[in-house]
Amino acid sequence: MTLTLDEAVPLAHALVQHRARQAGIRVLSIKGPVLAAQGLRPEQTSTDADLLVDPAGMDLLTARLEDSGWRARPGYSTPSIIPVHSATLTHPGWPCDLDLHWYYPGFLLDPAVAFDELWSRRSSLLLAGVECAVPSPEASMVIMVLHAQRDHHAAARRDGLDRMLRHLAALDTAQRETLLRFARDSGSIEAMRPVLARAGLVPSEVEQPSPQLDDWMLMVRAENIGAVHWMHRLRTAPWRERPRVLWRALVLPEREIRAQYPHAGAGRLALVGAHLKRLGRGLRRLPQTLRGVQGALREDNR
Amino acid sequence: MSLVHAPSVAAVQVRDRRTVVLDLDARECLPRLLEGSAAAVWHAIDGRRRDHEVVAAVAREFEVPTDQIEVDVMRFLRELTEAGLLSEAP
Repeated sequence: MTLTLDEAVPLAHALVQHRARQAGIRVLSIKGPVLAAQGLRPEQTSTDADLLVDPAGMDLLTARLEDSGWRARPGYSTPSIIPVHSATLTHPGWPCDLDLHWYYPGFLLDPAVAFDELWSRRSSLLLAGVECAVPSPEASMVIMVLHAQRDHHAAARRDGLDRMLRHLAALDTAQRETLLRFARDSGSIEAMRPVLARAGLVPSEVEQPSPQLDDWMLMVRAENIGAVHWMHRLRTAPWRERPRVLWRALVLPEREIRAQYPHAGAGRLALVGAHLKRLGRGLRRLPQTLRGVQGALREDNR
Repeated sequence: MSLVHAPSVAAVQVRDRRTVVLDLDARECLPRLLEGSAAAVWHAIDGRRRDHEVVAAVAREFEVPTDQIEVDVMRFLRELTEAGLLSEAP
């Protein structure tokens, strides 16, 4: 049977919501079909089903889905300025992945508290004929603004940001107040501030600086994201660990280098060639990377 | 007896004459694709029609005599029921 993505994704949301409900775990379907239903994005095919899971229930929900043949995709060792916040599950009988988030980057609060804020304002939506809990439209806008800010060099995300700016500009006074109240309560207002300021909803000055906000700003402002993540990891690691971090930055495990260079041949020589290509690309981009980090730090210190 | 889609079933219809159903309680969680007449049978089940009325509705849709499809449709209804996708309407 050939299941298409536009059939599989709503079914996947329905499946996870059903299994979570049976286990007493709170989950919210986010992005994809939810945004289209809330008028925040045109109808388009999603490649995965994104759900935000109560952090306390993440392990149990993952175990329940694994009982049904879903398997967690192995993560990569490449570091991230923002901690790992989701698990991807795949199933051989399904064309879409499940992306289970126990935290959404940009909500600069304890993940459980941020989830409670989202849950307390939830709405519902029928997906594949099953009632699914979803964020309120204002909370969905916040999620999309946070999402669009990450890696803003990608054309798709830039389009997403432009679209969200148009939506923000179209809000009436009551909707603006609702959105800003949620942004404050969920700890996302500072991470969203550059976008909210562009839309004229808040002043551009940061009111509540924090180390989490610094990391967030570094991530969204710096160029050449991969190298910036490694530099951040190196900068924040204890001195005794730095040689190991540096070695890992220079020499990725075989699985990861082959994922980055899928056309590399099978032998050891081809593997060495792929490593050299990656290092060459990193060195060529080094001046740009350093400018990106310095720029981000300078802006944060203003 | 009237037939109804089982309460644990999710269903998606994106294209005409094609519906994907999934028993959310089934451990293996594999969707089942219904195409053509199978999809028509699925949509003819509305919680009010009895099995022979489902046969008649499908026959009308495909403009064929009822007795020409009755055996196949009844067999398919049994198959769906045994798979946990249909139940008796309350």
